[in-house]
Amino acid sequence: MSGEFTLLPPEVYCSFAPYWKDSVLYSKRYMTTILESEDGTEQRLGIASKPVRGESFTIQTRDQRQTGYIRRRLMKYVGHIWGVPIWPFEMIMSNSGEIGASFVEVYTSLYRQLASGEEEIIIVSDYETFETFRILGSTPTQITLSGELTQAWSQGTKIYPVLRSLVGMTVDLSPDTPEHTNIKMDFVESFRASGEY
Amino acid sequence: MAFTMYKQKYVFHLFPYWRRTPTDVMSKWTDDFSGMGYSTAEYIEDYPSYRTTHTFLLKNLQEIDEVNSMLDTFLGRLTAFWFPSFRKDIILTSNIGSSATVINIEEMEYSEFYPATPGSGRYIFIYVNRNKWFARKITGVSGPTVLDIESSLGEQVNMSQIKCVSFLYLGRFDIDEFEWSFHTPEVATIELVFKELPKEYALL
Repeated sequence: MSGEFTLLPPEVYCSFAPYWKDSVLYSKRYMTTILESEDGTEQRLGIASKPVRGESFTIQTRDQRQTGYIRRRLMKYVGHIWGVPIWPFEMIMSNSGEIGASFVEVYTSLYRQLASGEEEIIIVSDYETFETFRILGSTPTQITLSGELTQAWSQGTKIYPVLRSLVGMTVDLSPDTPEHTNIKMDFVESFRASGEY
Repeated sequence: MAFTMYKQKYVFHLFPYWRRTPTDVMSKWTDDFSGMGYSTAEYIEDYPSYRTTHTFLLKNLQEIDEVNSMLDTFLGRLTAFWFPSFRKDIILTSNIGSSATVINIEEMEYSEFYPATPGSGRYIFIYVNRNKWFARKITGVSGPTVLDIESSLGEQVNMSQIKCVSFLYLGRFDIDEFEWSFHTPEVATIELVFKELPKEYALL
């Protein structure tokens, strides 16, 4: 039996930068099974050939407008696929990106686990201003995009690989004041796909 | 800091972050029976299995990527590899010469307490730094303070250079989910749980 499947792209993006005072957690789960006899002899099985990744972090909103921005998306997109920047794998644009360009230049893209194909990056200046593209290819200093930039991005703008993921079933919104809220977000990588056998 | 092999198995040689206290457990395979107020225990295996937890601090994305690649290579709990205790299990009393096949140690009742079979306590790890370390098998005892090793280190190693001489264990990770805690985008800690596989020394 064989078939072709395409991983479904994110429907919404979590573009709020994390509150770094609480650590950003990035996890990998390998799903191994161990059969163990009474004397400790083991038979180990690997179920998956690659890990399931996850990310958890806290967002701190400054006012009700920001809190509402997230709350609305949580209400509409629970159970949908989210695109979440992998915050620790930050890249910084080494040159400005012009409208219409199909690549971006960065100081370094090494050690960011970039993969071309269905993987995406997100270019972010603030939570409401961002653009996303699939990665067509990358070198240590350049990323080729699946489309053209629709807005100009200045040197120093930050770029992140995107984790295609599902948001946790419970999201904890803890207001410190009527306006200021800490939101704990948990994401687990999604392999939801469409295709045919 | 690249990971390399000893006896066809990778060695997880990263030095732990000692600010987070590690934990050690030595367990023995036993069956306990109790009834009517009496109990008895049957040892299924003569030797204990060592389990330890360490936290590691990585200071840049390159180091983090190297460890991540190893986790992918090991596929979580699937693959056996070597890990040192990173304790000063053995205390040297002299420098180790480049062609020496013995090491001089403080008396530790080695021959009485460490079994003369493959397994726990039969392999040592001499740690200088993350780029220089030596793994050797203890092949015998030439006296209460002299251990024989399978081959020389190939270079003179002075006591002042050595951070620790630990036992080296063959084992695997005892967790399936690995969580990096990024304190900044470049600095992260990870807690790893290691479990010895006493039965697998025989497969070497």
